[in-house]
Amino acid sequence: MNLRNSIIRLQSKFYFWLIIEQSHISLHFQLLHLGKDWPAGFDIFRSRLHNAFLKNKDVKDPEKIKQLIGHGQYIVKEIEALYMLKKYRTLKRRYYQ
Amino acid sequence: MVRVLVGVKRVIDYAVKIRVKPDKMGVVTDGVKHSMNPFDEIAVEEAVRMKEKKVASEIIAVSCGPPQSQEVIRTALAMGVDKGIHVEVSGSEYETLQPIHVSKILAKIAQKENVDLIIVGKQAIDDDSNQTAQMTAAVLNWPQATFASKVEKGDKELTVTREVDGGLETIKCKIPAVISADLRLNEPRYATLPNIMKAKKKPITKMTPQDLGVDISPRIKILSVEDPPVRQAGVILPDVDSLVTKLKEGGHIP
Repeated sequence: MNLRNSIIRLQSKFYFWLIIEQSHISLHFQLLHLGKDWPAGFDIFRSRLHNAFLKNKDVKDPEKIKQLIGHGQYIVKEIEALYMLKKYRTLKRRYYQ
Repeated sequence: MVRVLVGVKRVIDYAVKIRVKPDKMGVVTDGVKHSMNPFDEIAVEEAVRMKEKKVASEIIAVSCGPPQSQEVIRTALAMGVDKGIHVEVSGSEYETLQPIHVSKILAKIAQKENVDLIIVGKQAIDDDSNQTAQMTAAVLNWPQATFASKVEKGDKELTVTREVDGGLETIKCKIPAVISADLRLNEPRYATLPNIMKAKKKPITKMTPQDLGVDISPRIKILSVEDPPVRQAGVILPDVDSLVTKLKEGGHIP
């Protein structure tokens, strides 16, 4: 019984890390995808993104990791909004002024 | 519930600096970033919002063009469109493909797929024709609501607010109808990576204009493509006196 409990505990811990790992990787890919449209070029974006992830490579605390992933998702939304606004403004300037 | 058809065009990306080919027969398209026409994005977004509001049952995206046009259909699918139709037109045929041909293709597909509403962008940012919506309505003999900045669906009709010179016009029209999207209709969503991945499972049907019985023989011949005139450089003058002399020389003041 005791063994079974500890196996379950181990499993849930494993799944927890798996989920964190997955959301971390998908965040990285999402940001890379957004970087393809970056005005100053993809290469600059990629190296900066790499540095941003590297800066937190030693973070082990699960709560802190969750918080950082949340921040990354916030950045994704910000970049999307930035692109949309840039496109809207360009079109407005070209066709309505 | 209505079935919606949206037209999407693959154009050179809005942020790219356009260059004319040395032979003056077109613009450089090789190795240039392409994306969906921004006004078509607005049209797609409107259709997707209709579906989210349970006004539309199914959305179909159509694109006419070379094989790469499938990329913009994929983008539309990632934004929430249900299925795509790619009408393949490539090479020299595509260079002389005009709104008249596209509108006939759209009309044929609309009849075949039994759609109630066609939404297209008001114009493409490459040729700026602004004809496809109007011509499609004419071919189908449907009412048209062009330059829409607000669309509301009633029971059997649509209330559309249109952008006209110096103001807005509100009209009512029966369904089926053709709508063309103006810039202020909505703010299109970004096709996110997870959605692009999911969209790979959605179907794209391929066909040719011949399958639809549409003749796409050229109606025009491109004679020459020119750069717009370059703005002349200005000069900085040291004082007011030289400015006055300069203006007198130019005949701007007596």
